[in-house]
Amino acid sequence: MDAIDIFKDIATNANNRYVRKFKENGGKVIGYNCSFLPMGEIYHAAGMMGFRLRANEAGSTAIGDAYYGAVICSFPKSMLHMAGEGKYDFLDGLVTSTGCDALRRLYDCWRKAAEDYEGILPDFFEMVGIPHKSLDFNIDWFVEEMKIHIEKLENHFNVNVTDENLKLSISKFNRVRGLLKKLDEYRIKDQPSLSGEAALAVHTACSGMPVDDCIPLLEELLADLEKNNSGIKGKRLMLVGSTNDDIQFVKAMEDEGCVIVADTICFGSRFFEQHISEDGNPVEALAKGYLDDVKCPRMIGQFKKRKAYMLEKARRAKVDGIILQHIRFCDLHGSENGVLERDFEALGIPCLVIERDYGSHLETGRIKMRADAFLRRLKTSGTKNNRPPIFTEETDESRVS
Amino acid sequence: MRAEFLEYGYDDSLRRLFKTSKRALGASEKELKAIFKVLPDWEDTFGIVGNMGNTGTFLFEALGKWMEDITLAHERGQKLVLTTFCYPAGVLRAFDCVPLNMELMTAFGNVLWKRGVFEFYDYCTELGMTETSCSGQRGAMGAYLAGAGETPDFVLINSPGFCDSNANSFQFYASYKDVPIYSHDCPPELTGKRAMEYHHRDFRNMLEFMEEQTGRKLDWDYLRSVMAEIRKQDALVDEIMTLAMQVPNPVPCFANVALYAVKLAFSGFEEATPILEEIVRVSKENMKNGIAGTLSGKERARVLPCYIDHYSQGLKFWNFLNRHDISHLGSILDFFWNEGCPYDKGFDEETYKMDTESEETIIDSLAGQLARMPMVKQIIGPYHKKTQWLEDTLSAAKLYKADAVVYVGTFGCRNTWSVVKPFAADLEKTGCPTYILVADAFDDRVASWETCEKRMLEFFHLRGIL
Repeated sequence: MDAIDIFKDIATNANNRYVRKFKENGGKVIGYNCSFLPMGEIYHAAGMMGFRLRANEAGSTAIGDAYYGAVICSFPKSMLHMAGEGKYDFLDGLVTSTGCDALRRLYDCWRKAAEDYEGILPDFFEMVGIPHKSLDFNIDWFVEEMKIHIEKLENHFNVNVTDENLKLSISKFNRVRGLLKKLDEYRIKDQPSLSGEAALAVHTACSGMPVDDCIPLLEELLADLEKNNSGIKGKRLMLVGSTNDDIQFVKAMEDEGCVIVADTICFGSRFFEQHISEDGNPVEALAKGYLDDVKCPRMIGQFKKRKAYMLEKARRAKVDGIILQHIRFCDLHGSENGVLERDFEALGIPCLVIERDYGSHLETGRIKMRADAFLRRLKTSGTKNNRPPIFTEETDESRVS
Repeated sequence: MRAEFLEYGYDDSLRRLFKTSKRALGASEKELKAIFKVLPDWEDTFGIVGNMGNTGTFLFEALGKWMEDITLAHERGQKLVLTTFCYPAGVLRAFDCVPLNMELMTAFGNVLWKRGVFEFYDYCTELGMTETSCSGQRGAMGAYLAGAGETPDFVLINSPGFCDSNANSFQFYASYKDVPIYSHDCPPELTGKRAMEYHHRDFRNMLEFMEEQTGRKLDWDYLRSVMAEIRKQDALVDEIMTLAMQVPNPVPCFANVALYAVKLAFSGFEEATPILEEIVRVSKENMKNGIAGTLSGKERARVLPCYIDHYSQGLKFWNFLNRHDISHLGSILDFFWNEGCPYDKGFDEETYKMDTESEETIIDSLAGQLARMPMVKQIIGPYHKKTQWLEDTLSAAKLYKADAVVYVGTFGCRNTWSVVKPFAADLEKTGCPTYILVADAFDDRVASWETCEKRMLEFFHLRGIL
């Protein structure tokens, strides 16, 4: 089995071979639900494993629908459905957060679902706050929040999270970040050798397997890619917006003749673009590194920085267009996509805005049709106002400001 | 958008409406009949408002003055601040700024105009805001995005941490119009040193932002006078909320809206205090006469809306309650959690206090108030935990002897819609009949008022409440 196939397998199986092996060796696995939580490093330092909760194995949202209201994003509902079906029974702990309103209420809904579905709630069950901005006092508070959480973890599992271990963990996770950055080079090169589907599978898998297994597997994948001279043809697109761990969603679009060469999504490239300092106090480094990140619109008031980041990313990947997608009821991304479309189109970057559902509710046919229509537009008229795409060789880059 | 909606400023239209309404309340019967011939849908509104003594007159006067302040702000050299209903406005006035409160502005247009604000909801969507965003902001915000009103200078909110939809709408405005925004952040805990320090530092930062935007220094003395008035208003609100515990509830059925209009828009401003004084006077008179605050003076049931009210055109929600002799016990927007409030559960730090001794205590007081504003306090953390939604609702249902609890929200409210089912189930387990109204409090197109009324009546009948 090639490394990429292993990554795809891990990305689509929560209780995957590495998780099972880790647990067979006495390891404890703790699930958490937001990319702003530095739990990977913290749990690794405790000799445990952090597992970023995903929902791509839910065949329905029926269980989620029983607790969540009707007008809520299908992503946390799918997560709860998976939990209700026992697909998260391998977790020894569960940590929710204030990532967004729907995710924050996963704490309440999971707790209530546990009254009806026996055994789905681990004993270690916590909610961690994440500030919505990153000024000094927000970071101070987040540092304290992490320290409180570490103390609870130590007391519950009788483990010891030392600064030395944390520094070692940061170093290992930074190694993963470095490898993913290298991987990104294969994605953005003129003839990409890594599809968006494959890239998403790798990123998602990395958040659901032990870091010590992740590093050699990434190295193997990079070696495979180095030997691979073939390139993927198609219009180059960037994927922006709501969270996505569903590789079928990306595949549905790529099957229409494009390649997703860049993304700014949760479960996508956000993780490896963080910088976690290996100097100084490790808890402070983690809190600052994870919180000082504007890529999600939950960080209110940071639109300009987000837009600049996206433009730089689009420029670097030489994209032909941008897909601005959001899951229905995700107003944070949905509304921001409206402003981004206006601004990007004005800069000459063609945009496709898609409102979609997640997972089992994803209408693949509609997504394919929309992608196809967008690709036809790219082949013919360019931007809505017929200006040439901005990231062609002859384009004056100074227009991107 | 139709051109006629841009012809007159949204705020200026409301100013004229409030001024005219105030005069009309003093009209003779013959004059009123003539008015209702032209505006038949106003008959119910006037009936409900007229049942509160002079409260309506004072309320329309204050609201008219507020709209005048909005329309004249720039002419007077003041800044106009786009803000949210749960942002305590006192500090804005201390910077000589005028608050432009989106949700109240949406409710006014929705309740008072037959045409409602549907055109403005849709305009936001045309610009790119999701149609699933909160209608509470989308109505009035559509008008300001379209330029149908005075242009806000900057945005100031405190919703990050408890309401994404709210924060997001304001972020949309700031991004779309490229104006500065300051957002307070609310941690998921209400009490304790950490939370207080967090709010304190945030408040300090906000003061710097305000100084930058206005080019003024905060007028601490003025702020002290505002806080003294807040204390006075809080005492009156406490009296009203104590009177509402009586059986029958003597507080006029629509008074709860006047109460929160004062607390949300005029907190600490003496021009609005007579509104509260008049509610107290009328309620006491009702109590003396042994009658309820409903139009008939009878009380068949007592209802506690555990979230917000329904703002359909023509005050239909209150009209419905009045027609069925149902007392309104106060929604989440009537609970302000000041020190000494009658619904205080005796839990340390659950309430805020106004301490004007030093600049530090002033900041602590106002930051404490900000963290305990309606909706901020109750839905900041897990709903079953101390100081949160379930405990507050259960306590209020018991104190106010509620026959039923009704949830009315907007479809944009991700926070409460995420948990309202288990929340209602928990209330039911305690024996409290609870109804979830699947509708939008502002946008009747989601479910018409007639549908809402039928559903609520069905619930009240089935559960033997009516």
